[in-house]
Amino acid sequence: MSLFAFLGTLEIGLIYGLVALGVYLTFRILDFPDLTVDGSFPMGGAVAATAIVAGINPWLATILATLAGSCCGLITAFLAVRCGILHLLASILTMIAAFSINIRIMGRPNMALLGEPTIFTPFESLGFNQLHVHLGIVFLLVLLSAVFIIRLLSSDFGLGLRATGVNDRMVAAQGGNIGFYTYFGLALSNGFVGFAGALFAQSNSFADVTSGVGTIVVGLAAVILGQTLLSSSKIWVSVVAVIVGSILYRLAVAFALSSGMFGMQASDLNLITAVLVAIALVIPKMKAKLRVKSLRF
Amino acid sequence: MKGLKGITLFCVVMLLLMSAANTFAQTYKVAVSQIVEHPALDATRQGLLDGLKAKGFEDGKNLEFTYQTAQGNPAIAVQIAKQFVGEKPDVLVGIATPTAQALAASTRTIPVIFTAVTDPLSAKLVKNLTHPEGNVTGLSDLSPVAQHFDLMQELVPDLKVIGVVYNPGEANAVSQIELLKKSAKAKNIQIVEATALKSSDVQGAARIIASKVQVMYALVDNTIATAIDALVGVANQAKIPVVGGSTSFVASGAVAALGFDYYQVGVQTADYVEAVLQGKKISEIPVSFAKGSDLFLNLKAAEALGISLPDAMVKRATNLKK
Amino acid sequence: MIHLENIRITFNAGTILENKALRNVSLTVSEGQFLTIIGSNGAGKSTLLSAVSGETPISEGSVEIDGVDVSNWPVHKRARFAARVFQNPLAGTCATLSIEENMALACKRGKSRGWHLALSSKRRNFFQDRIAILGLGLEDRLGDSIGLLSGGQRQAVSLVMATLADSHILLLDEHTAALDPRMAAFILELTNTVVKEFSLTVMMVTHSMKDALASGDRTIMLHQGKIIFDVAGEERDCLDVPHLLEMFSRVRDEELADDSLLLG
Repeated sequence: MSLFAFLGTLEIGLIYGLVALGVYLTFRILDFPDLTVDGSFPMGGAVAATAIVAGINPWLATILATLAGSCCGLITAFLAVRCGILHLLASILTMIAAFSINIRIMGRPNMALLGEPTIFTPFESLGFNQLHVHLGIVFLLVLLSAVFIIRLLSSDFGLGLRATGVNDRMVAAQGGNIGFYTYFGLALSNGFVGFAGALFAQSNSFADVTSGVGTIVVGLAAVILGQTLLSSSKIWVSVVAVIVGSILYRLAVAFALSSGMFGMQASDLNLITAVLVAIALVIPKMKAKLRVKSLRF
Repeated sequence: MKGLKGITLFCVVMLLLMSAANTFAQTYKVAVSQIVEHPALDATRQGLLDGLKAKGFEDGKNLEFTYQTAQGNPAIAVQIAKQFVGEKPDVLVGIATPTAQALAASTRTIPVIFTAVTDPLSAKLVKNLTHPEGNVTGLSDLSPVAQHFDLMQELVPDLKVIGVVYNPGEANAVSQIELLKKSAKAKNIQIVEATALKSSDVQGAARIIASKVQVMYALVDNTIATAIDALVGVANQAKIPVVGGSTSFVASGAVAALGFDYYQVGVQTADYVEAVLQGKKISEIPVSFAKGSDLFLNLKAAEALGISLPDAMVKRATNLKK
Repeated sequence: MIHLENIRITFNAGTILENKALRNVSLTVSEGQFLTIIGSNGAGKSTLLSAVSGETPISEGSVEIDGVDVSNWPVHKRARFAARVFQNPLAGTCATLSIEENMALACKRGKSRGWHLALSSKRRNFFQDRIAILGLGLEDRLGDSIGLLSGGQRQAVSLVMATLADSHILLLDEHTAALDPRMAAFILELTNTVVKEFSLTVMMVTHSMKDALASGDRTIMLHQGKIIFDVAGEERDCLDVPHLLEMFSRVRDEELADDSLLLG
């Protein structure tokens, strides 16, 4: 793998690290299997691209994209909390609706940003290497997001959020509003995913409605992979772990793409993802078994 | 802590492999990124490979031809682009819109040739068709929709209603639908459309409209291309002909198709690659539209539907399936 | 003070499974009173408690806590008036959080939760002082996940948690029933200590007639959704378990007699 490909992989891994953060919030913290991300990721890209092409400042466009992602989350939460639709189904409804909405937003399925200003252009015009600029800014934004999440989950409010996914009856007994936590958690999660979509579109100069396909699988793979390698009850470790997991996932993909290596090719990706997730799921059980054995002897 | 050790080990292994992969060869390197595997795009790639061979660039001899498919996933297309750009090939080839965009976004220096892109202007791959400014040029496969329209009228003399199934999520399909509606409006013919977001939806979508239309138009759409057999099956049940935008559809039972042989599109793409390998500047290589519209007819399918094909049409056909 | 007025709760109303869990129950628990509630399975003891906490919506009647009509309030809003300890030790705490995080959750019961760090050194000291009362050595293990504790230990922590926010009503739903006898005795003793120290108003549901008479200062017995007797003061002091059983069977017989009259 070349350095260029390695850095490029890091960048995509970091961007999808935001997706993994979102998935971590819903699947792990709220215990709410949320597939909305397949819709909110391309929506982030669609909103950012449309806004930028319309002449809106790229940073403002990115914020709009984040809010659009949050709205997707709120809709899923509304369907689940208020209408009582099973959470998985509620999120699938939002996901498929988002596909149509994304085409409406852009007016077509693919919108190009080549040559348009992005959040990266001011720094590129200073003469820095394009890839370094992208990687640097994405790294900073992901770092800020991670710090924000860690701080939030360490607050009084965050504690309520964390308990909601484990024991909602107890949270209610302690005066926590489960419905509100669900709304908030889903909006936050999908906000991050929309943010990631906006960064992806600006970094790669296009937004495409099909870019959402499989986002949830990639996010989940990152969460499981990261948390298996770095398992801890400490929040900051978990947050770092899911981002690391996302980077590792992308490195594994890059592995498969490195032409000729182990005879793998891109069409083996789905298999690799499945194997990675399966290994990550099996390792904790193996560890537990080993522990039992070492106790016995 | 054990986890950390594992990661460190992993990174070390990765770095070793990275350095090992950097081998240099005294040949031309062409890297091809394709969005998804389906017959038309695969034919394009094969045409490119054969076209290059005819020009004296042979894979394994003086040509290193690398190829990856993104499985329809734009994020993977981006990773493929980074991978390829990092390998510093002489020419990058992007088959279909998102792959070409991902390549163009990843490098400003390595020449990028796109092919099978319907609308290179709105995809922002080039700003000027005749004088591309950056490092990107290529071949558009804009489907000759107006000609398809004439073909359908020729086939069904009292044509009033045309049915079409397409994926609104595909840029290529949407621009063809727009062209089709433009032609239809001018000739006062009604278009009945049904959308299919994935190939498994095509059959159902076709069933809904099949009984209301006189002819089924199969435009050039990755989703339709994958499910062309299902579309033809529904049309046969409804006893209406399928007219296609891709000649490969005829083999699946479409009565007539006017389009590019995507293999030929690939062969034409080889001209671009050759020009770049010979050192021609991108700005001197204008974007062109794929030539050589072939007319394929399926006599057996026409007979089964009780349609007699006009003699003039049979005469000018480039391929007859009996 | 807790005031229940003509509470009626019917499950599956209008169906073949219709179950009148509470039938026109009125009850006033005055400030500082420690009420124990007994009754056989399905008598409506737990339903009575969840009518106060809000977990079970009432079909008719009204619930008033400290003079506020809370009949239509959701559980989380009522939480500011009353702390609860559940029968299942797993229900009252959050297994994946640490002991101190559980306590931080509880000390904000019924208050708005904001951006403040949940664990400050000030709070940690406060938690340490409070949990030291238990004498279980938990003050040195505040960072441990609460899931590592035994059921009894978790129940003890739940009781401490119930005192962290400044409400003065405690609802105990058979909170010793799932424990082994020794631990149950310890928790009951702890309950009495805590109630006295913080002068709490208590409603305690229990299976054990002995416990019901040994703790608190007033006892009611529920049968088929009705309060069948209500004793306090001297009358209660003279009561023992056989006595209670006798009263219970007498009431039941009367009811049977009523039923047979109806049938006849």
